Amino acid sequence: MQETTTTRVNALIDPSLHIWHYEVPLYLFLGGLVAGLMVIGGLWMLRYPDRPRSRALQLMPWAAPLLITLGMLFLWLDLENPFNAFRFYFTFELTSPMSWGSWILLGVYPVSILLAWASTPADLKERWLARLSGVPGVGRLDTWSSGRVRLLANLNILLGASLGVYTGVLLGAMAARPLWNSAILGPLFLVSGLSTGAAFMMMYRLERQEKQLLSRLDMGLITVELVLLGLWMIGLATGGAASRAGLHTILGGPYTAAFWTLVVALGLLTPLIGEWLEHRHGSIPARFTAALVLIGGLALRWILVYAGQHSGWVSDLASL
Amino acid sequence: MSTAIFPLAIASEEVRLLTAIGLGFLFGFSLERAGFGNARKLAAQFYLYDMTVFKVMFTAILVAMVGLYTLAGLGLADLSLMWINPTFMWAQVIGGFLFGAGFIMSGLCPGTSVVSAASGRIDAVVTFLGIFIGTAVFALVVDFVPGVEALYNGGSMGVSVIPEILSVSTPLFMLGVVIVAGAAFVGAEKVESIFQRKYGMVEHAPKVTRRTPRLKFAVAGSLALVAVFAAFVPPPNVDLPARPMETIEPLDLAELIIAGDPDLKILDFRTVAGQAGSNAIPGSCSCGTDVDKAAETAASVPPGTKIVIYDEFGIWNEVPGSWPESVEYRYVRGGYAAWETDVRTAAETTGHTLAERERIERQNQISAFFTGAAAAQSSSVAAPPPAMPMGGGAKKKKAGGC
Amino acid sequence: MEAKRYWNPYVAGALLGLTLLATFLVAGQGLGATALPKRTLALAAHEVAPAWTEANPSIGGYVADGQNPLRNWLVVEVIGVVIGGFLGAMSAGRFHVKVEKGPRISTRSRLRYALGGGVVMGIAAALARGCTSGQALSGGAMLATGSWAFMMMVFAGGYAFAYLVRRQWI
Repeated sequence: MQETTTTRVNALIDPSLHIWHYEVPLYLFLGGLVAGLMVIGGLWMLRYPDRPRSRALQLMPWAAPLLITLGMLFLWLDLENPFNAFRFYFTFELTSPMSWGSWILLGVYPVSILLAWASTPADLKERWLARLSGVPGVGRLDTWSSGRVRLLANLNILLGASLGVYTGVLLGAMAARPLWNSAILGPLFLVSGLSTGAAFMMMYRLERQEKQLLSRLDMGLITVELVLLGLWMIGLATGGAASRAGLHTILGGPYTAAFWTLVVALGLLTPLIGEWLEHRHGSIPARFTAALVLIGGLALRWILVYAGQHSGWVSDLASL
Repeated sequence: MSTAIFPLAIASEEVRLLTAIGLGFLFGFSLERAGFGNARKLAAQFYLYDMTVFKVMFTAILVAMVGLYTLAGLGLADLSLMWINPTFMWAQVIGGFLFGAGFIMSGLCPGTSVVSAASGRIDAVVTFLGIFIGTAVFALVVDFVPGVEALYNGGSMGVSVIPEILSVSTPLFMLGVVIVAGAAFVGAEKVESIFQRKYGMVEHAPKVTRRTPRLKFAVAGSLALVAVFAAFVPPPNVDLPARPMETIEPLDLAELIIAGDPDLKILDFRTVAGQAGSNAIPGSCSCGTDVDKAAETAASVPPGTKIVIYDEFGIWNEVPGSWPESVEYRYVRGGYAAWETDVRTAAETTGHTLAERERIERQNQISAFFTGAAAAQSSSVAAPPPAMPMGGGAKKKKAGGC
Repeated sequence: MEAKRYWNPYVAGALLGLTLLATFLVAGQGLGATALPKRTLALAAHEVAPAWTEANPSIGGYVADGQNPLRNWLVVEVIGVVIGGFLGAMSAGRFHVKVEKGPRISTRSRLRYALGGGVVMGIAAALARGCTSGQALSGGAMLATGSWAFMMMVFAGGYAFAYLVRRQWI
């Protein structure tokens, strides 16, 4: 993507130009996933501080900094002038979601890494401490973080939620794309991120009860997500002509089948029913269900990014 | 055109695509419920101790077949708008044999491997992966190995259906299929129980054998259904190709009308708009654009009748496949427009040759006859009323809705 | 949970038949399964070698019109099959992550057979322009000549090779 355009044809305004490709949906997906991991991880720490956790769950917080790095790699690949990216950090623009995002991303690292450290199993910690004994300050950081798990958990929840909302607001603030121009997109992406975060955790070797807890949480999240999707569509349908035209891209337009098939049927309803059946049978939630949630989360962002770029003030009005 | 409402005319391709998700769900669900998510159960078909594959497949084919052709016979479905797999005999015979070999190796077919993979079976995931590889291999082989493309297109017969090949009526053929399948079902139950005892593997087969009375009722019921349907529903008319039609000159037609040919039947195929505000050829009956109605008319006249059809400009030059072959069909060259200029208009120019002058005189006489213009230089033709009941319209009792 | 019984094959067959009938009536075409692999392959091949793909007799038709080959009824239908199969297995308590095999064969060999069988079926289905769903079932219901020939030959091929691979199953 080009950060600045000085010519008359402005890709940010002219609706026919697709400027975002695979990188942005992948980044939004990973960002949401990390947001979900941070919020759920933080909540878990606060809610069950003394309950023994499986090894996989103890190591889970490490996924957040790793995945956000991967996500930022995609974001960075998407930039036209990748080596100017550092300039984001010489400024802060109150009205720019991109500026907010870059500062949130900067905060995610220390907070998530410290929580991950605090959550790491003792034997691993000792081994790493022994290896890092030469580095100054590591020991103090360890004692500091171990004593402030609650603070770190709260910060994780706060930053995670901001990250999740930001991935939606990033699209929602773009008034030139009627399909995205909705305040519900922020909460929708947050809830979807939480749901994919829970699903991601369920892909690992957790204890039966842990998986069942996550699965129950996920059922609730998917339900909320469905409600938000409905509200989002109602909002667009009752909006102006451009909003209605934007909605048309997924209600009869070129992205209809993809949206309803991959997002709603395969990514939301199927795992919801699947999780409900697992819950009713008392069986261990399967990775298959979790994988569907992940597919659905990626598809939601993918299709929204592409369909949103397809929707515009001019082109869709002409097509109505 | 006809009363067929199926296949549904879905305006938006996207909405049509959405129907796939529901129908695909039912497809996957019924395959799963049949036990097709289990490779062992499928493979058992080939060791004869569990004939579920055969039973499910043929029940499904019978139900869909009878349903489709019954609806087509009732005029509710138009099979000519539906996709029928074209026949490439060699490709399908060789491909089928090869496919059978692959089927017994993996124990799954492509559709069931999807269902089985969705039930968590790892062997099914691997099979599906193999199908991807195989598809790619074929795409390469068909391009780079000589002879394979010839095999791929070998034995091409276009869209071909078995009743047509055997020249039997479709209901009769289906009745045969149902009877054979019913007998085969009974046989399959027997074979199954014999081999189950041999292998001692009953756990995969649901205990249908205990419920044979119900099964017999079901088979008898479907037999009766088909018998009823075969007796009352006319054969569907989708498979017959249209035949080219001969022309008739407007003037020749006019002479036939004047001569009062009793074997003549004229059908007006102009659209409603075309008929409005103009005359029709005398004695013709209006069919609008309803081919089926015309087919009824054509079926109701005795053999040897000459059916003449006309539209606005003589565009229609084929006999629909559904019309009986015992009748001779002609279309008016140039349609009603030519009738207006040739028959209902007096010739203006004077001819230079004897033949031309004869033609002009003939046209003038005929036009006078039809327009009722009293330029009665004609001596050969009396002046009857224009709206005479010629062309058999009134003579035949059942005139097919004219 | 104890797995539920499979349905009576005639009942399952009748539901399958009604589904097939509804498919013809609604969509004007039959069911299928190999469209997804073929069309995915066409999409991938078109990215790598557009000219070759467009000229290919087997997959060229899917990319000829410039459309996305995955925007197709049969592809969406396969997604429905995944959902139907998954929820069907879940609701019957039959969802298990495992390898289905006879008692006398190792998991490794079974998976090797599964892959081999898949490759053979992929070739065969591409050659015959359809599989048991697209040819035998859909074409069979339409009484298409080639589809019935295909179906008979599938059974013939299966029985011909069944003895050779019996170790896998019984």
